[in-house]
Amino acid sequence: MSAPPDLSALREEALAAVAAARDLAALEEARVRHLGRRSPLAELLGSIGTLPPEQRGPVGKEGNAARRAVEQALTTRREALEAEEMGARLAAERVDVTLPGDPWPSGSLHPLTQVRREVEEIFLGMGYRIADGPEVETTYHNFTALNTPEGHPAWSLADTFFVEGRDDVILRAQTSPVQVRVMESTPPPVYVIAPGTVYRRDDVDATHSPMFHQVEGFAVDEGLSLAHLKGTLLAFMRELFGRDREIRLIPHFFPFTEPSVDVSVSWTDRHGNTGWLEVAGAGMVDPNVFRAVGYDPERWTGFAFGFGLDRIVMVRHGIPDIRLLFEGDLRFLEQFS
Amino acid sequence: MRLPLSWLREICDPPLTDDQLAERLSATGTAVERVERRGVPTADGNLDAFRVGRVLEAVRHPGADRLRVCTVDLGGDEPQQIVCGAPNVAAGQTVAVALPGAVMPGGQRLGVARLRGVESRGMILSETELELGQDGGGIMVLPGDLGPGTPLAQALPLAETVLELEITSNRPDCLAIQGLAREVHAITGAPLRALDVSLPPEDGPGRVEDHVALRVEAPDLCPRYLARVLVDVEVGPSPQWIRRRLEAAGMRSINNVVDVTNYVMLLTGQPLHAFDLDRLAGPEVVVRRARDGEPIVTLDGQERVMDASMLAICDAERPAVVAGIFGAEFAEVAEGTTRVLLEAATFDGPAVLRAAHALGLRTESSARFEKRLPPELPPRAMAVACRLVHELAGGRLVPGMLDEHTPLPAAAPVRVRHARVDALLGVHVPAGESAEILVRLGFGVRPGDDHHDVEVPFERAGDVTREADLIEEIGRVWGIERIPAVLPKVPAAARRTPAQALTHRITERAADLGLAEHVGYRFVPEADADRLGLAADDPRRQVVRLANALSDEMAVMRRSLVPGLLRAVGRNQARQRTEGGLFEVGRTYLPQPDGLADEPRELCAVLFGPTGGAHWRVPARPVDLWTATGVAGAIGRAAGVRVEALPGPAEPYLHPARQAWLVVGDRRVGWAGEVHPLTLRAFDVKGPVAALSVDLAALLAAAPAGPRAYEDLVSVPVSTRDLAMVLGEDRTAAEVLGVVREAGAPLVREARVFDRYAGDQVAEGRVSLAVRLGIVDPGRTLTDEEIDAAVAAVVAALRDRLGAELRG
Repeated sequence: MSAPPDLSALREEALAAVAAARDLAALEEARVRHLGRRSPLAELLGSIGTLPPEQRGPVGKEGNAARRAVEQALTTRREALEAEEMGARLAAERVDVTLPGDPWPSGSLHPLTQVRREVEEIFLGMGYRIADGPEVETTYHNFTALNTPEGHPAWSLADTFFVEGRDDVILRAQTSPVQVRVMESTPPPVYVIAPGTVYRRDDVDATHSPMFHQVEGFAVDEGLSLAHLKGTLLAFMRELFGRDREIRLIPHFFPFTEPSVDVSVSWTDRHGNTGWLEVAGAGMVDPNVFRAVGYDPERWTGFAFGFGLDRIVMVRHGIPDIRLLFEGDLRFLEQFS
Repeated sequence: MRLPLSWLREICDPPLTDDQLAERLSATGTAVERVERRGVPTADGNLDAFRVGRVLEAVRHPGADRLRVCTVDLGGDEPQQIVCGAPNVAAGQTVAVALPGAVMPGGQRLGVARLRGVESRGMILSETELELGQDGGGIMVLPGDLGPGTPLAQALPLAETVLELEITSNRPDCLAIQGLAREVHAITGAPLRALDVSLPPEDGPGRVEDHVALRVEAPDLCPRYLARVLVDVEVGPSPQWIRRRLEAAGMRSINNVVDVTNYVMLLTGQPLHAFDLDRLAGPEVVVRRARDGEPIVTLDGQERVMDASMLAICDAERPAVVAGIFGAEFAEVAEGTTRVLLEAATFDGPAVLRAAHALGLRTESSARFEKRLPPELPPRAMAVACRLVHELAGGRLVPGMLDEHTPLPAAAPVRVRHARVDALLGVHVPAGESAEILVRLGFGVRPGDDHHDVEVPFERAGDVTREADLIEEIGRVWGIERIPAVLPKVPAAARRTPAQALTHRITERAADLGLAEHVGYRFVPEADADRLGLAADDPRRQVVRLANALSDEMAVMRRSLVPGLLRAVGRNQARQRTEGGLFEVGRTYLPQPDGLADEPRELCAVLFGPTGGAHWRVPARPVDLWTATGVAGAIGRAAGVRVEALPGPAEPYLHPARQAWLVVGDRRVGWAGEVHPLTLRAFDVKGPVAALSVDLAALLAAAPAGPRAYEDLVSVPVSTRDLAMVLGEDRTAAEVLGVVREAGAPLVREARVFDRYAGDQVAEGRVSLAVRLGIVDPGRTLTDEEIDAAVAAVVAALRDRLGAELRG
């Protein structure tokens, strides 16, 4: 009869082996040696039946506890070794994270488009729909219906592009003919803006272009007054240029509005100088225009305004030369992406 | 219009500083473009350094023949020594002197100088040095009654402020000092001195008819012609005050008679002309149309050729003036002239404008006539001019006046309702205030219960004919700045139309794809059609052609966006840019029989150089046809449609074997391809360049109308089957997919070519294609038998219709 085995020694030996395992292979080796079928602990637990009955209970209990403890230690150690190994593997995958990422493309909208859209969003929000008309336009819509009779200086080969062989067809010199076309086809009330391309026979230089862009806006309703024009333009300018802006209206002359005003917005340039920037022409729609489109000028009143988009783009971005807008130079366009 | 304020203040002198006055003018509609300070700077008591002096002695400089050493009494204890280079300086003269320390008009400060060894304590002044006139040849000699030491500013207007005004085309009355004074009176309330229109004594010999005959043959171009005659005129230089005013207003002094005509024009707004009556053949004045090709040698010595649309003022033989614009030399008033004919006329504004343009001549006179002057104005200007010629040149006025005119317009009174004033301005203007404003502006006001009946003065008759015109007058003087800012009550926010929304989306998409948006000129050279290789009968050779293009490069409206984009590519390449993409969304212009144009819009894009590359792990790939069709596909997805490529030929300017129609279903929406090498050469562009164009109207028509209905592709599996087949190499992917979709319907819902191979592994003339099928029935799981049957149907159709053999 042998002496009762030294269970605590076996247990300590096994735990020590688990703790000593430096990698998963060593750990597996330790598991086989200390918990495997041939291990002293397994053999001891397998031979419990040969023990005197009074020893079987305590030895079995102590032996199972030792096995569980070793198994627990094995699991813990395995997880630790696995984590270590993954850490080492991932660490070996180090890259230069500062290299450029994949080149997903990013193009650019033309600054004229960007500003035009801002203008459109503001006026859509105020209930204005967007309209457009032909660029090859009749003198009737561009001049006559806008209270600009033949003989007016603008109505000349020096200022306006005429289509060859016609004395009644031109490239529109303003977006105002859209006013006429909309009113001809739509009963009042109307609230409309008309952004578009216009043409004047100016030689090209830093501030002039024979082709440029305007936004026309007009509203016809019962009871509209100059105060409404002022309110609308103030709200618009503040949306476009900033909450702190003020506007100034100064009497002026346009054939198709009466009264007519020049509109300036308060402005601070890059050097901190403040002043007024002339941005738009506006006024109350002339009764002759209403008569031309068949609106009753006694019942309906309205206002109209027009401003140049190119100029707003230029002052906003500090662009010194209008020609840059139309050259398609990628070094220019890509600045606005 | 230049407004010298000393002149204005002689007629209307409001208690405002020059700057305050400028601001008030601007705020009421007379825009001040510039405030110009002329003459001696006034800051820091500088005017004190300018004094009246008397020359006591003037002796030759010991070291210089041309210089005089003067002893000048300046009112102080000791006379001062001043060296002077003027030829006319002499003892006994009363002169203008700048003392050491004075700041001159140009800004330079005078010191004590030594001239050839002789000390000079000051400077004896000429007109030019004080910016008072053009006469720099000698010093000014002042009236002898001025005491030595008198501040010069008491004798001469040393400092002058001139306002440069922008006068709108409706206000020719403000192209006159008197009219501007009226305006200043209205906006400030300061008293206005009326124009003195009294005539000098009519004591010349005979009557005007005895001196000259007048015949107006073209009353349509000359509604009024007035002539008067003065005799015993002595032509000479003008007095200093008149030269000074002309100078400040931007005109040059010629002689006393010509200066009077210019002075009166500046004062009244009515241009006048003075003729040497003895040089007019006849003597006769004939107002007639010029003959086509009729020459005239104008004052500047140039021969100009007139035509029958122009009006000429002629003597019995030839034109003496292009009416309202410029005179001929032979009839001008010059030294020796003694009999003067003064003309004050009304000419048709648009005709003067046209003639001025045609002759390339724009003068102070034509700038006024072209704005249509009232026929009531000439008699007033004539009276002022006669008086001044009498006073300044001693002329004696011959009794009588020649006056040919068409009936003068009679202006009806205009009613302005108080309620309408308030409604249009959006603010209440009391009737008393509106009446006062109108009266100050020169209108006659008869008050009614709820309105004023207003008489319009002839100066404003062209501009003010209706109630709205009067409301503008009331509003601008009452104060636009006093009108509140009020937002109208608009029912709701508005939205873009479907077409606008689509344009918005695909523009955004094109930019997201890496393209830069370009805005190009719409006018292009006509030669673009040849550069594009368009056939002689290609309808796109029909263009909208400009009658007055700026240049051949801007001669016709574009029929394609391609040339503009290719030119932009060329410019970028010239600046060492080797790759990139540009797009433009814009119109082309198709001439229509009615003279107008159809203006369809398209999106056109060009890509040049390699895509990718210059990146550490993305290789460069040259752009090609499929770059273009790929962009087109992405644009189509933004519009909610599937854009596919079908074999061309679509366009002559594309590579004949590498171009495609873009279609949605069976609707053509555009084209894509590689640009033809000849086209590239014509535009001086390095290839390869890929391009595409999508017609916006066609795309919109193809886009789904309403919201898309949901299909259950979520709770059922999609079965994927790959088919590899070998078929003839001229079979297209589109044909294969067409057969797959048709034969596999309805279960085969997706089909995509994902591999293509030609080479050693397949026979000569054959190609291997791999197609991936997605098979699904929304909401229902398919059985294996159903899937197999669908695939089998596809395989059979491919074999039967395209001769495809299935591989593997």
